Amino acid sequence: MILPPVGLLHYLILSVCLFCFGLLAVITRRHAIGILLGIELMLNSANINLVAFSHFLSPPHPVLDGQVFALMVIALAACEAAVGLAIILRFYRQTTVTDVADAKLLKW
Amino acid sequence: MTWADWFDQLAFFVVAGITIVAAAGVVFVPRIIHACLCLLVALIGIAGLYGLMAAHLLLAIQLLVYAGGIAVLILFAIMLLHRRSDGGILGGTRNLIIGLPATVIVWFVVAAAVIFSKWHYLPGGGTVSPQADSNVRIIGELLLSRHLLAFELVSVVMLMALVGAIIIAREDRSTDSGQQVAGQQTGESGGNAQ
Amino acid sequence: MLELAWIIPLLSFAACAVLLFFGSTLQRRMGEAVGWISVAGIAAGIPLAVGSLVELARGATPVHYSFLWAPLGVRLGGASSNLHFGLAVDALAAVMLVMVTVVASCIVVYSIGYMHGDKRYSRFFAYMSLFTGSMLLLVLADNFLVLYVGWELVGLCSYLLIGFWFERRSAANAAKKAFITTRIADVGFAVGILMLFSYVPSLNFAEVFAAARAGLIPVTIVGVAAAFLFIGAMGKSAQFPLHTWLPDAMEGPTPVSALIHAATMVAAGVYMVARLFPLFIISFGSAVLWGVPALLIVGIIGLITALVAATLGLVQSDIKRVLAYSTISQLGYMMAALGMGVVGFAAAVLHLIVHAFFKALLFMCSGSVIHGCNGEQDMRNMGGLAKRMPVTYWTTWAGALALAGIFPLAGFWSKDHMMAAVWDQSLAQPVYWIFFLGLELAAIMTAAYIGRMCFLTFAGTARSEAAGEAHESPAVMTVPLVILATFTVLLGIVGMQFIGGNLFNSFVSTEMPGSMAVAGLHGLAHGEHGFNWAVAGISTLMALSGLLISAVIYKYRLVDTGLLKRYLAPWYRAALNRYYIDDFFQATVVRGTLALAEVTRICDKYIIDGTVNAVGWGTRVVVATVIRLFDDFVIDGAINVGAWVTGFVGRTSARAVHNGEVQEYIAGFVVIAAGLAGMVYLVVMLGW
Repeated sequence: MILPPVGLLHYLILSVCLFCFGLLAVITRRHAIGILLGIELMLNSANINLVAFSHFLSPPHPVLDGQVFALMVIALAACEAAVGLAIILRFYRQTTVTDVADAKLLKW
Repeated sequence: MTWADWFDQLAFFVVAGITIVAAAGVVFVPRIIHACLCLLVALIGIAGLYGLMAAHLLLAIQLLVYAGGIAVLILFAIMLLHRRSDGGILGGTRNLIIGLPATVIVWFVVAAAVIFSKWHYLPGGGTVSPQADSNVRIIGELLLSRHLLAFELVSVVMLMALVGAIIIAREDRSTDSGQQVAGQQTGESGGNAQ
Repeated sequence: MLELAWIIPLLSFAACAVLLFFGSTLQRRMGEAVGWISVAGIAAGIPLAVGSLVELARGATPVHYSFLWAPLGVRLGGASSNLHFGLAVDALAAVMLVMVTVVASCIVVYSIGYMHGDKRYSRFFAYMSLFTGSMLLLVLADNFLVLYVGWELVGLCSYLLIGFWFERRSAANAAKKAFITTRIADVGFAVGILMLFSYVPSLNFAEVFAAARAGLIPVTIVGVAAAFLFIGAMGKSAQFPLHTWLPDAMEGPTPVSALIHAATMVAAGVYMVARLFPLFIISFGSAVLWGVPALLIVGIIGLITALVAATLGLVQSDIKRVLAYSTISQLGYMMAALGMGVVGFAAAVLHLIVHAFFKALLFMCSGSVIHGCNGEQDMRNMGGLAKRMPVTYWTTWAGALALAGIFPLAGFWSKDHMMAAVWDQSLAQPVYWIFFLGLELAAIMTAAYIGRMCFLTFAGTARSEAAGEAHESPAVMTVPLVILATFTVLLGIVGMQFIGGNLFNSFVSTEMPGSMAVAGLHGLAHGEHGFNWAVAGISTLMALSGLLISAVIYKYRLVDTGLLKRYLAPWYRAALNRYYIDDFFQATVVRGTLALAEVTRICDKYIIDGTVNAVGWGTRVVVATVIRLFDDFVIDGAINVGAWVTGFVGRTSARAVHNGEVQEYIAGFVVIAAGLAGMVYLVVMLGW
């Protein structure tokens, strides 16, 4: 079997798959940390896109702005994880609940 | 097809396969701690993909920050919480009924966009240039020249996140000791998300 | 030493910075010893200044530092012009450096005693340091820009220090008066600089002088520019008719008066004219105003100032005001001497130096007297202080005799040298006899008013309780007096040089090239005159007669002062009112400004505000009615309908969707977002 050489599309499709898994985790996981895991997955899939564009669409002399963007995203993801975990811990300590479905204090 | 190309292909499919499987695990594994370990594997796999795309600095950072930092942080957080399992994707009630179709729609839309778009390839794209090992220097120069503003802003955001995380997760002394004046108590808890 | 001269102003500025930022902390730690920081900053410059002077006297070439401050780029004509920050130490500057550092050190030491117990103690010394440093910067300037910077800094400091006791309304007013008067004059200074700068792409003195000499600037322009520059000097050096701020400046603490009158503020004007002297010489051939060249304007203004101020000094009863008018008069002397051309140049500089010493001495003596009499400043309430304050008594006489020009004190030599210059000029051109006569007349009055001051203060018996209980000032105040008195006596040695080889003259005049003697100054190159016995004799006679007159009236009381007042009533009244010059300025400049402000205020209040208010009123009345009706019926109606619809939808259907399930929200959001993205994709990418 002759497959086409690995190119941009491979990475993009892979990235779409990861993104959808992340999305699914965010929507269906009931544990708050599960949602956080899904978000991390989605951020990473976006990073793959950025790096793939940078790699495949740039001229031979490397133009690495995509990688710089990916760095920024990693940094922001770290912030997001820290704040998210802090919120979850706080919420848990206040209510002893980790299930986002139970956080309905503001309903109605 | 040369052996090198073949090996390249093999490497991609192996790494991509591991990553996809691990990502699926994040969604389907019932116990949250296992999900987190799956995420760890997926993150390492993504680092491998970076390596295949000659993004060596990102590879290192992905391993250090994500695998070494964020994933471990989440593991600790999980251990601080008592509830260990939420039954995975199947444990939910009706979320799956909406979530699965929504995700499938997204997959098809984006995948179609990816496949049918006319990508503007530049000549020589996808090859690793001889200067590949000077990535770090180029990224450093970019960070401190063209993207300096973003760089600085990110640093500010990180500082804010650091301070914010500390304040949010801090032990609420007034509720613990119970010896504080009532006015202070309300004053302090008013500042926290009640 | 010459290489290090640039440090001298820096030391003062450093002392100022320390005192400004850490003054109160240090004062808590050290008490009133903080004043010594200021002394250290200024006095540390003395060895450097003296060393520079000695090196220059031994024939070292003047040092010149310059660095690029602000590049201005290329101007029309191709010559690029840049602003430099440049300092230069030449003979004139070195002499001034020594004078300023020595006199200022003495004054600051003295103020440690004088300002005892003041609530802004450390700030006073910060200002004093800044004042001295600014003056030193001004002295060292090698271009117009730095000169102007120092000039304005000096003005600022005088404002801060004259108004140091700003709680007193009169002090605040005096500070404003000094600042605004000199500011008005500074406009002239700035205009002069800009006129020259528009012809020469440089502000450097040497380059401007060279250009002027080479004819690159039209001689008329040089003359007019010089006249404008002199207006600046008139303000700073309190020349008629801009002298009115100086007597009022007595409102500041006495050491400040001493500093202003001797070392810093008023010296700046004379120094500036001396520094820019080539411009005045070069433009001598071209008339500025009514056929009079710029140099002669300097002389005429100087003469008028010397005479007017001397007559005013005769009638003052405030001990400090006598000295203030004396300063103005002496500055007039210097300007008049400068107006004589190259022959008067060295004489004027020498008198500037000497005058700084004895005037500082006199002011500090008056401060000591005031201090001893518990703040009493009116000489009519003093008397008989000779026995109670012996040190002050003797040092005052040293300063007074120097001011009067009695042999062999320093004042004698410098004044004699100036008069000799006038004499020489008069021999060449008879018109100048007016100057000689006028200045000799002023000399009589000088001796008379300073004699009057001394006799009223020290002779006779105490005329008030405060004077009867007066006490000698502490050592920290008297020691500087003695030092300055010593200088006043010994500086005569510098004057002695005029008998021999004209050492000081040729030294200070080193920047004056021989080619200075241009048309119209025929025979006035380098006054190589020896000691002029005739002039010396006349001057001494005048001084002695002045002193005699004052002694007859105020010591021996052979003539009744009331009688004199009656005989000279018209003049006496005019002099008491300062010849109505202040009133004139009050009526014209101050009233004019106030009237303009009033007109502006009325314009603003009634015309502009009125228009705005009318528009506002109209809008309110007309539009408000319409809007209210619209509001009541249309908007309220619409809102009520909207609220009813929302309530109906909420009750019937929306309730089911808003169930608080975060993840369902997300899912819904994702479906809609994906749908929209898909539609956009289909429309844009595939061209449907």
